[in-house]
Amino acid sequence: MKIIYHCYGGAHSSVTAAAVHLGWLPTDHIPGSDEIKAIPYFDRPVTSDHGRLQFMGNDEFGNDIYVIGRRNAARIFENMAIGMAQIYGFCPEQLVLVNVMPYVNWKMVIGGFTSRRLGFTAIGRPVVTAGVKSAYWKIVSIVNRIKVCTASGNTGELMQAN
Amino acid sequence: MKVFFICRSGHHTSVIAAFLYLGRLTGTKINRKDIFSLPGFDEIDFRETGRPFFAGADHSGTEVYTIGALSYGSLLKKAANEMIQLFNGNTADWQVIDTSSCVSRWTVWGLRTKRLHLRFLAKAFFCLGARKETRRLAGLLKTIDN
Repeated sequence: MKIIYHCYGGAHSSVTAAAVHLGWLPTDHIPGSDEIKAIPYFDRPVTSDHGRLQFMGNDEFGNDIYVIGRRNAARIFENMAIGMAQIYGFCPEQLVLVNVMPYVNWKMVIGGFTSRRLGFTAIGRPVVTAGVKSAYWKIVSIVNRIKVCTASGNTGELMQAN
Repeated sequence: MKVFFICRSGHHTSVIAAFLYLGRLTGTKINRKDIFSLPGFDEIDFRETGRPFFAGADHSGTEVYTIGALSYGSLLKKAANEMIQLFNGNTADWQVIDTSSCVSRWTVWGLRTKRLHLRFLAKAFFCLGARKETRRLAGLLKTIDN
């Protein structure tokens, strides 16, 4: 199964969700700033990386975990991905697209913009990290839901909920 | 081989490009009847934007699709290439062509008026847009073939 977490830039919320999914971040307490900053690709992608699929790793069930930044084209991206899966004969139940944007807060938006778009990493990164901490339990909850649904093979319900 | 044409709606500029590619539209001067008789032309559902539309296949078996991307043409081109690579492996038997540069402002106005349910006006704009775009698309396809 291929699980794709997508958000605006593929740099913060989706990367954090993928890290939680892969067990790189704890699910029993909020991680420290250093732990968050140590996630591969966290606050690294730039504008030219938007639309590029990034493989993050395999989870304990053997699922491939990816992240992608798709700006504000969530529905367009999802329609395209599902359509491509159908064209290439890939079982739609084997593809899970998770929009992480509903869990993004204003700190992540402002911090992400400052760090990635304006290039003021020293100012933006602490703000976005604080934002990730604020949104952490929401991100953990969606990842847990994804894990439960994919493990039970209930991905159809998951796609409808998304 | 599969060819994907990307434009704003996936049912205007890219449809003309697809039929030019398939050889079912010849010449750069087309009339209103030709334009609106193209399968899929202006059959847009804004909720389905992004979903590939099968335009047809040529004699060599090349399948041609169109994709709507609104103003995210270059982003979706990159994402489409990535998704195809994910599903298809490393074989290079596909091509994603962004026709956004050929989109006429008449077509853009057509889409705006269509959103406002002004269908008659939208059709007039699409017709004007298609006439302008056909020459540009023929030029674009020449550069691709070469």
